[in-house]
Amino acid sequence: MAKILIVDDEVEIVRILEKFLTKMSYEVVSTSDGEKAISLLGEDKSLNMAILDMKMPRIKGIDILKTMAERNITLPVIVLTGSFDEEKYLADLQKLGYGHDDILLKPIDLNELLTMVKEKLGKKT
Amino acid sequence: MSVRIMLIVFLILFVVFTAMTIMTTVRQTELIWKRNLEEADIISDLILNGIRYPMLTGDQDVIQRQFDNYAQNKKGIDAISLLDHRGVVMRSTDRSLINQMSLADNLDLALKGSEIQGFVKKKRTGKQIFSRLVPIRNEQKCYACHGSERNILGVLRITLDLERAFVELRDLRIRSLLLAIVSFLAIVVLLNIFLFRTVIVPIRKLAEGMNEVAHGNLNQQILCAGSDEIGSLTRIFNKMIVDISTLIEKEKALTAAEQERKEKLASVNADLVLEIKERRKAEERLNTAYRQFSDIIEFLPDATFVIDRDRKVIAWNKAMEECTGILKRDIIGKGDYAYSVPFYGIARPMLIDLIFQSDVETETGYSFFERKGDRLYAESLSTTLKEGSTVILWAIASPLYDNNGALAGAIESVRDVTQLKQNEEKILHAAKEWRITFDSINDLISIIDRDMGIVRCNNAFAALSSQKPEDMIGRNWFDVVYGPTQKVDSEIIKAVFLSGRTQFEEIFLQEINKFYEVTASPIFDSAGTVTASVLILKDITSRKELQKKERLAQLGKLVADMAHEVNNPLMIISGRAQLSLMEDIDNPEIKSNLGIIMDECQRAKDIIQRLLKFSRRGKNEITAIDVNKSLDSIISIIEHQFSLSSVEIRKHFGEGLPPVYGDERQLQEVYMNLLSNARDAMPTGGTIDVTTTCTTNMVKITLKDSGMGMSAEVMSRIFEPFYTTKEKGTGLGLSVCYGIIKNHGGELNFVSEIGKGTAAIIQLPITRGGTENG
Repeated sequence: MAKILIVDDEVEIVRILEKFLTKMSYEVVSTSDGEKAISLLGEDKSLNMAILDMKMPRIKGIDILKTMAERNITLPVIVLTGSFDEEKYLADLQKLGYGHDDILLKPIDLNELLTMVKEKLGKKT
Repeated sequence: MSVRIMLIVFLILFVVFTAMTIMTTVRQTELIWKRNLEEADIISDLILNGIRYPMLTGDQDVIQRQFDNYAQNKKGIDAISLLDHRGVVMRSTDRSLINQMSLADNLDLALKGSEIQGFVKKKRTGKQIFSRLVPIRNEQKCYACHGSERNILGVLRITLDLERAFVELRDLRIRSLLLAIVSFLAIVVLLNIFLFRTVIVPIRKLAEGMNEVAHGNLNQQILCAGSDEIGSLTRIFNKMIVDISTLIEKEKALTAAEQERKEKLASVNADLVLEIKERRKAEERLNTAYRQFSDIIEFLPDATFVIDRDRKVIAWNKAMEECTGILKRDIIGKGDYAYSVPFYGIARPMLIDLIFQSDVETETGYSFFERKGDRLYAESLSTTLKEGSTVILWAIASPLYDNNGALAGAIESVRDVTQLKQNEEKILHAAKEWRITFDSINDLISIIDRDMGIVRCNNAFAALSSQKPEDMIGRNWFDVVYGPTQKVDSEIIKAVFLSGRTQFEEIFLQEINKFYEVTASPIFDSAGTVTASVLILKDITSRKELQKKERLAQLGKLVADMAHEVNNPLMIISGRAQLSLMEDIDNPEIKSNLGIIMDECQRAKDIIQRLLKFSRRGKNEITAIDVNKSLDSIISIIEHQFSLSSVEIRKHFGEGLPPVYGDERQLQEVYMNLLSNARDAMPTGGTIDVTTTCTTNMVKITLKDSGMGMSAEVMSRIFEPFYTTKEKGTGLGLSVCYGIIKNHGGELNFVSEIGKGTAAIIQLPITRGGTENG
């Protein structure tokens, strides 16, 4: 049973994802706060995956990814974003080794998410 | 003469006669008076005697009677009065006097005993009368009545009227006078006749003769009248005349000869004097003219000198002295080209010498040489005139002629034009600099007159018509800028001429698809009237595009922010719907509703994605696109819908078009957008002609409608985001299209004519480019 961390400042989105992934038999840890997410990522070694929202107040998705890279936390990551606007986003993601395949544009199709989750977890295993 | 003699004689006669007459008259007058007085004495004595008795008797009345008797009988008695010792009239022929105090003169003397007699004036009538006062002495006989104490008893006064005596006297005088006059006249007449005949006539003849002689008439003899003195005188005179006549004849001959000689001499003399006068005048005129001529030359501002026909200097003015440093006194009279030394350093022919004879070598030595009539003009350089520098000289030489038209000399003026030339060059250089500067400016600069005619323009402006600036002069500014068919009016040009203040305006030139900022500045004449205007057209197309880009960038940011904000709620909606669908739902309507919610969320997501793409942050999918095919697929989708609005789409596709590289979905969005605009421009229907062609490096797609067209104002703003003319438009369509086409390295232009329609022209590069960075 894979354990997935969900990070999004929008609580309602977190809930939907929790419900869906729980329903799909995944163990879910979630938070709306970037700082909490970083500490969870550091502490909880049982985490198999992270779904991160890019645009958040204070600590943003990209900051979390940077921290993970710094701390050498290697987890499959799906990046959610409402706007795929800033080229900087993509460039920053690409610098950290992420690409189009790691990104889902909001509003997401839950089935699409599930496919991607499975794919990433499968790859890892 | 004779008259004078006669006058004297008459005068003497007159005096003699007058004297005689007077003497006679005086004598006779005396006699008459004497007689009258004697008469008066007698009468008074008679009266005295006559009244003696009556007085003695005291018969007063007798006295009165006697008085009256006398007065009546004796003519010439005026009055007889008896006065008493007081002077009171006792008795009188004049009754009115009785008892009156007598007023007779010298009465008091008479009353004292003196007898008074003499002429008196009658007191009452003013008549001259003779009065006699006789005192009546007291005698013994009288004592009886009068007493003895008085000596004088009274006075007898007799007054005589002398009228008769006066008449007699007057008659006497008249007679004497008449006698004198008659005698005088008789003597005068007789004397006259005598004198006239014996003296005056011969003398007059003699005088006439002499007069004749005096007047040169010698051919006459005076008739000899008698043998008296005058006769002999006449004869002598006659002889004398003959002698004189002979003498005069001789004299005449001599005089005539002399006269002739004199006349000749005088005539010659007069001619001579006249000629001398004339000459003197001419000489004076000549002198004046020469002096004036010299003065003129002397004060000419240009260095001037004159040479005579021997080419010797005869004039050398002040300016020449200053120019050459050679004084007049040192050069006058010198020849052998001495005058050329200051200019050339050596004695050699110069311009003035060419007047006398042509000299090709000298002529060709000038940098400029011209012959106009008999004048010569030249420009030459002198290195000797000013030490250490070359002087440019401008010279004019002209011949001088004498009265017969023969060459008498020549005059030359020299002017130092170095400064002038340098200034001219400076000006020309400055003008050239300005021209180059003017032409180097990329802005389109033109100067126009009040009638919009081009007065001057720079290269950039002329390039509008692909011509040279000089060929633009006189053309209408609007024709050049907007093309001759466009009827354009510019408020700012009107305003600049009216107000005289610089005006600004932005214009869009459709033909060349450019924006210009027009600055119209006035040019004033000296009276302050705006006679022309400088129009500067600054190309602001790139600035405009930058503005557009900036706006689009802002829009992109806005859209991205909006997308993020909207996507979250969208995701919540669609997520919830998906979660709900995972539940067992029996109610098919709920299932359907949830499905629709999910679909609509997807649509909303697509729209947002499109907006994101527009802001170039979307994901491009670059492929090789067959433009015809791509257009066809769009047309097939909308054809039916368009036909419902009576809009017919006609395809004119070019064959064998090369592919263009780009994002087909984006391009199709452009087609779609433009076609929709075309339809909206034809609310009552029409046609849309879709034409594709290609050039060597571009594929051109033209979408031309038959709609209402656009005004220039609208046209200049269509690409602005949020600019719309439609009631429900967002104003994003064309700006999105513009962004997409630009992103593909292409061009999107519009050509529109009000009432005829609009054509959208898309040009896409055939070679791949411009999209990779997106």
